[in-house]
Amino acid sequence: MKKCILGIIVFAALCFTACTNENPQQEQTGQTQPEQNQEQFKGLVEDVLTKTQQDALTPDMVIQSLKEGNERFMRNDLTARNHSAQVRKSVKAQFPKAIVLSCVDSRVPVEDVFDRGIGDVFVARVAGNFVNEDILGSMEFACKVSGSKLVLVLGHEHCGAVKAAVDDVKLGNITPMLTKIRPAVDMVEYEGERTSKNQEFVHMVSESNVRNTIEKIRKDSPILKEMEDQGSIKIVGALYDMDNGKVTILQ
Amino acid sequence: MNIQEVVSRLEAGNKNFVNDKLDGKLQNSSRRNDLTSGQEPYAIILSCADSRVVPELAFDAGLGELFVIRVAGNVANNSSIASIEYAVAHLGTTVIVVLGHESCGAVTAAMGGGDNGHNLNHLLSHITPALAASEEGAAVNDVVKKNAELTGQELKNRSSIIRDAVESGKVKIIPAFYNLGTGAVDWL
Repeated sequence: MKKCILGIIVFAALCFTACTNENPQQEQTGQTQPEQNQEQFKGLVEDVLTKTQQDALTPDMVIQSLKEGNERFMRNDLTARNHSAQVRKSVKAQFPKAIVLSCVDSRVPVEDVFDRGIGDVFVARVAGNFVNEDILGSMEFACKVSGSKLVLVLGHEHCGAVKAAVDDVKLGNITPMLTKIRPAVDMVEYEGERTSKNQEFVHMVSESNVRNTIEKIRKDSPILKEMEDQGSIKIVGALYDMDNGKVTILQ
Repeated sequence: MNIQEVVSRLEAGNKNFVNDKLDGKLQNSSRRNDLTSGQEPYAIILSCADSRVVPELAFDAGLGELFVIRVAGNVANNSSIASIEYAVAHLGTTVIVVLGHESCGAVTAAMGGGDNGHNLNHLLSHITPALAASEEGAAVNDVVKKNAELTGQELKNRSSIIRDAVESGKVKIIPAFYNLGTGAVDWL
């Protein structure tokens, strides 16, 4: 474990070396913007998270900011951003506040759903939002190396992967992939029809899958478990409702 | 949309992003309502978890347009391959973009070697072939590009569903490189 943490610290040092002097440079870059564009971008959000801002955040503050972003998404009030300024400012380093694990579904674009821009959140996406070693590695990178404060597992209703797991579909590489979701199907105690036609059951499995994924994270990543126990991060689950765009944090 | 139309749409979207002229449509509640019964994304993007590379922004896409797989280093593992198979087999999506990006932390870490713990080691091992295929002392961005190319090949090698679709001309795989400083996407 010591060796591992040492490796990560070296890795972190590598990543952050170039960014201690970022602020003066940011301002300078901002000034090089052509004059005719100044008016167009007036009032738009153009900052990106800095290390100081990230350090000052607590996991609960991050949860709150994601909730507020989702409320803006629901009422069609997405923040107007100057993306090219953000692109330039974030080129040397990133200090995201969270990593969100979500589904590949094209109807759940994570950044939109939480009204987030460039440099705000790491995002891992795989059909059925479960974890494997590579995604756990991505989460460890986000939290241990890059200082994120929250791991959020976001399931969604009408999930094709969850439905396929419920129906025990067999096809190519999808067959072994679904074995990652099957335990969540078996965990649901339900007397009614256990098929993908039954929306109530699919919904229960989606929630069970999120909870199971959180348990897997704690079990299979000693690094994240330790950070959670120390209070430096939180690991939480949520469900996205496609009809109204609302994200509900699971208790 | 046929393959060429999808490629043109992605190129036009990226141009909008680079020029700060995002369309911004298809992100609202009426679009959400149109999509509750299903999705028909025109492209699959295998990208990195990096917070600075947002595929929906980079291609100026809204809800329901892009099927996005993200994992650090945009690697092809069983789950990313299976996710792509789902879009190819069930949703009829025709273009797969493997999107590497400038100064990728995962590629940098793979080049640094060492023991980063079980999960990160597993992740970084996917990038080893790109390292092996690059010249000694190669720059990070060259290894990133090699990794995108090899990942594209890996998708075909390890999936008969994807391979058959590519060989029959139904699907095209495009390795690509995202420039962090400008937001421009270069096809490789």
